[in-house]
Amino acid sequence: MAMDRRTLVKYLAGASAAGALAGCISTEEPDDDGNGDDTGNGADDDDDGDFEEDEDWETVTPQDGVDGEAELWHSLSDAELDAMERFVDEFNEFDPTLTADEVSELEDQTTAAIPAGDGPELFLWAHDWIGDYHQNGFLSDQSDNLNIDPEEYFGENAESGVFQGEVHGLPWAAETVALVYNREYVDEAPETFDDVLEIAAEHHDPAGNVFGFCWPQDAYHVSAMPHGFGPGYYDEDTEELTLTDDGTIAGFEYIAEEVWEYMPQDPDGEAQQSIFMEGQSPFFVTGPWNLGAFDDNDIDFGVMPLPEADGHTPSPFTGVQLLYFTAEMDEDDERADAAVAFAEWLTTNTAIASEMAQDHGFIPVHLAFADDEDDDEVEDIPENLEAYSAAVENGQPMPTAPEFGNVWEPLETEWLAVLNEGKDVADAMADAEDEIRDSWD
Amino acid sequence: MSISSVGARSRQGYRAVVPENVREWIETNSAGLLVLPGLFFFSLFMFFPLLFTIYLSLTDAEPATVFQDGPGGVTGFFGLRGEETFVGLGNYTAIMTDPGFWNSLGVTWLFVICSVALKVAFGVGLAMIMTSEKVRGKRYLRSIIIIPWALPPIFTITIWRGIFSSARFGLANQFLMTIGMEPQAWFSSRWMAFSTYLITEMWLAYPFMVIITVSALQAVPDELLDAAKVDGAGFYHRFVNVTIPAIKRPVMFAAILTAAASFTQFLIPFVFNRGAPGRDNQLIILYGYQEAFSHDAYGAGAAIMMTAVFFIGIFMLFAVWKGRLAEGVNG
Amino acid sequence: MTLLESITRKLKRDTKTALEKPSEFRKDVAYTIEGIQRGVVDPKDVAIRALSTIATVVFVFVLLIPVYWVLLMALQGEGATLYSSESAGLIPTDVTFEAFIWVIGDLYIPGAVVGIAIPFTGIEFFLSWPRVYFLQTADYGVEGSSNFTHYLRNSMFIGVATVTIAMAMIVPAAYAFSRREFYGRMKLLYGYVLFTQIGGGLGIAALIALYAIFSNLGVTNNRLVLSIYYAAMAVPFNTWLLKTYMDSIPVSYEEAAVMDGASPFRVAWEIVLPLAKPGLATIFIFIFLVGWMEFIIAQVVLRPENYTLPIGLFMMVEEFTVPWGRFSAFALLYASPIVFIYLLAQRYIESGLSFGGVEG
Repeated sequence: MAMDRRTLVKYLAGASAAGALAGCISTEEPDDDGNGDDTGNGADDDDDGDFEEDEDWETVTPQDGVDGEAELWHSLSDAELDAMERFVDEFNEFDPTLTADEVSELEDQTTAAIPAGDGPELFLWAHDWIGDYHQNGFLSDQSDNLNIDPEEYFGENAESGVFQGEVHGLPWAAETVALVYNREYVDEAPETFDDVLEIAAEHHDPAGNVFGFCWPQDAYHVSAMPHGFGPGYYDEDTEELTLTDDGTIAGFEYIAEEVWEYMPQDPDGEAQQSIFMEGQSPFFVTGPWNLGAFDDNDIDFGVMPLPEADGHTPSPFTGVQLLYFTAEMDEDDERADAAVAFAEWLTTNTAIASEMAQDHGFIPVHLAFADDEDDDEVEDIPENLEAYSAAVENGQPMPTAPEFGNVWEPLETEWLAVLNEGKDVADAMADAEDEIRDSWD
Repeated sequence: MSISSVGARSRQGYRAVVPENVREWIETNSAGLLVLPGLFFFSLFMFFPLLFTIYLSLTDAEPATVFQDGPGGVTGFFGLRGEETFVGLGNYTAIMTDPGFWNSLGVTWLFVICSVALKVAFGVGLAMIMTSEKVRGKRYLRSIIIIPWALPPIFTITIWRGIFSSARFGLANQFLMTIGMEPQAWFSSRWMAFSTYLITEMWLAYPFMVIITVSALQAVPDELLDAAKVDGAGFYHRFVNVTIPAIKRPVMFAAILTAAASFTQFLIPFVFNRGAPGRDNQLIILYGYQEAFSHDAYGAGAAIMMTAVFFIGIFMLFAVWKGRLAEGVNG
Repeated sequence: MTLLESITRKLKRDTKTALEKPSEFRKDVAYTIEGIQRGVVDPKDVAIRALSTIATVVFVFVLLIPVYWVLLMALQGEGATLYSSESAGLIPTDVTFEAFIWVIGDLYIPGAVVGIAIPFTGIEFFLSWPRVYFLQTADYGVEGSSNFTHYLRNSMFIGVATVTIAMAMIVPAAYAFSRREFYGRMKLLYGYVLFTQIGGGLGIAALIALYAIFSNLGVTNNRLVLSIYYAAMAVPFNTWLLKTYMDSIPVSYEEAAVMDGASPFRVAWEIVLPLAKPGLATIFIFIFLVGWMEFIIAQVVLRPENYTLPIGLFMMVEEFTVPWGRFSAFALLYASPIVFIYLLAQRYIESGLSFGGVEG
């Protein structure tokens, strides 16, 4: 809504020229800056002062001569959306212009629109689509077009935007799950999972509608145990499934045998979440995207990485929010340059990274935030997010191989059978492997 | 004068060139012209895409190839064809041996049978109540109960998803708890999820049944019912001997239409849980959609869709023939 | 204009009937009581009636609990979730219109600068005024707003375009089917009946092909093309429906007009169409609903700037949470025009749907 002063001036000039001859009445929306409109964002605008760029890390701004237009698709939540709109307005002060649109069903839409040539230059999503989209030719290699060396800014995280040597995106933020505890029930952060279970047992009272532990039982949220106890779901080097590995099975068994009994007997995420949000449970395994909701529900909470269980450090799946470069960028150089300029500007902007960390639980991947002990100049991120950062350190990046896309569904089906019907874990994992291999053929 | 003479001359020319019988045919069928625009656009948007779908089902099309520039001309579907290659009946043989496909087809038919039975029973029952002489204010009640029909499906279906939320506070679970039962994880078990589809489908479709049945019931002559009453026929006899024959045809007609709609139901499983657990509850259209968009197999997806179209076509032909709907159309 | 007049007249009449209903009811009750006292009316009969009416009302309420529940959530604002014990009851607490305000967003007359130049004098005046707000979300402590008005514009465009295009195709065709004889008439009707209900499903079945075609013609993301598509899909059912309605209009009126020397066009325009009003109203609503409610194809074909209301609604459903309060408010505002039109035209619809043809 940033009203364009130039338009007004142009109009005024035009009106006097034409008016001198013919007389005319015409109207134009005036400059709104003084009206304090968009009051919805007003509060956020005031916050801007709190987030400053790191002195050592200058934001990469668009090169001279880049003045094209580009489009970005995302499916951010409402609050994040407001922030994104402000960032885009800020970026559009430069020569290039970016339009950001919230898109419904991002996967279906990108799958249809990009090959048809109707897609955006950029879209924002976790890095795990990269293999599949690469294989389908939806992505563009921008390694020659970038003005920065991603590794210089994002270290190892730059890797998540690279597939088979091609740079398909820049990382913006990381995400994973950690253990959130309600301070009403938990005095101090437990040291081990045994302590966790002890506290859970103490408070577990289904009749009184209090449950010891809340944990959505989908394949993403439970990944910490199979990957902590063993190799997890899939080995990217050998391209083999590892579901039937003894360690993986032990990880699943740990959940089924030790934890499940303290949980609401319903694997669904919404059910698990609602109970913790109601303040009816001491623990909840979830990602940083829920941090705001805890405050909204007046939960006095703390966050810690999932603690050691039976001597194994849980290792949850981690995802990196990427600004993907789509195949549309190969079609038009000017648009591609504008898109690259935005991607570089957004991901290297430490003020934005601080704000997203503070307000929306986006774990920064920028090296300015890296926990380097020699460096006193490290940017601060909120304490709760530190815990998530630590969880990322323990975590396991989601595989990017296109084949991995077929793992989720069968695995979840079988895992539900374990929880709901008491199926043996080893049998279930063997069945899941069979089904996944079938779908690969 | 000159203009009219031109007209007269061209009319003469027309008579000379076009034979008598053709002229007659055109004259008697000229009303057909009024039908043509609708027919043309409908065919254009219905049959051309279906034809193209048949073509796609015979190829290995996927997103990466289908939008590329292919050959033009008629064989190239006027430039629609991309770089996909022809695989003959490969997709069809593949789905024939795919247990997932047969499961999906089976579940779909089961869904059709159960939901139609429910819809008819519930719709007719409700319509009876809404026309019963023992109930006052029927007209107002009728306009209220039809509200679900006026609500957008995407809205009602999402709301029902919330009702069946497995959380303890989902409306369905609250109901269970008030009658002393354990809350359920509605969508995690196959048949439970299937039942939620049925209930939702019934709720969405009953207004259609009620509207049709009510108007049929109102057409039942009161004299007939009164005569039956005088003869001492009980409610059951009156229902079987007077009401049913009178409403049979409209209700059957509505049932066939709504069966076809159930067969192509997509939104309920899509919004609820994408046909989970696994792909157990993916009704056939959703199965094809997922194959195409989530597994990037446009060719296989098209083959599934065409098989579904085939089945629904057979069903409709059979129903229209058996149900003698054509005679109704005659009227 | 006559259409508008007739609607206003009808509205007035309906309002009047509705207003008179309570007093009528009172009279009714008084009459019944009197009847019982005088022994003309059997008290048992009255009791049965009262009980069955109450039972029906309760039943209808239970049936519509989902709708009522949505209303409750919408009135609880942002904090409403399906899962909190507070919002689970059926009696509203803490009513707030916050969610509705969020959906509607700011309503204002844009501010403007008006330049008035007097010719040949070089004198110019500039008038300006600021935005005039009818509704300012910030006044109610609501941050931001939805894109409801944006989606509404797109939905209205598509709905109106669909109805216009479809009516132009359907009305003449229905007339021809009902009143004229031509080659292939029965076969075509037969075919139309086959396609009545499955058109939408087949649309999804052919979705990929449809998208490929639109994309190749360069008309994805085109509201008008989508409207033509919806109109085409609406042809079979609505042509057939209108035809069956027209069948129930006696031909004698037309015969009389033909005797008076009216042209076939005038007979159709001045006699058949006015008599077919209930049928027309019914298909009008059905066709409008096609464009207003369709979701799947719109979602695949349209791009964000042309998103319609159902897409906007479904976008609020996120993977792990749904903001139920706002979602409900959005949904209610989206559904309300349809409910309103429906209630207005209810009598027409019931007679329009009588399926004169299938009763035989």
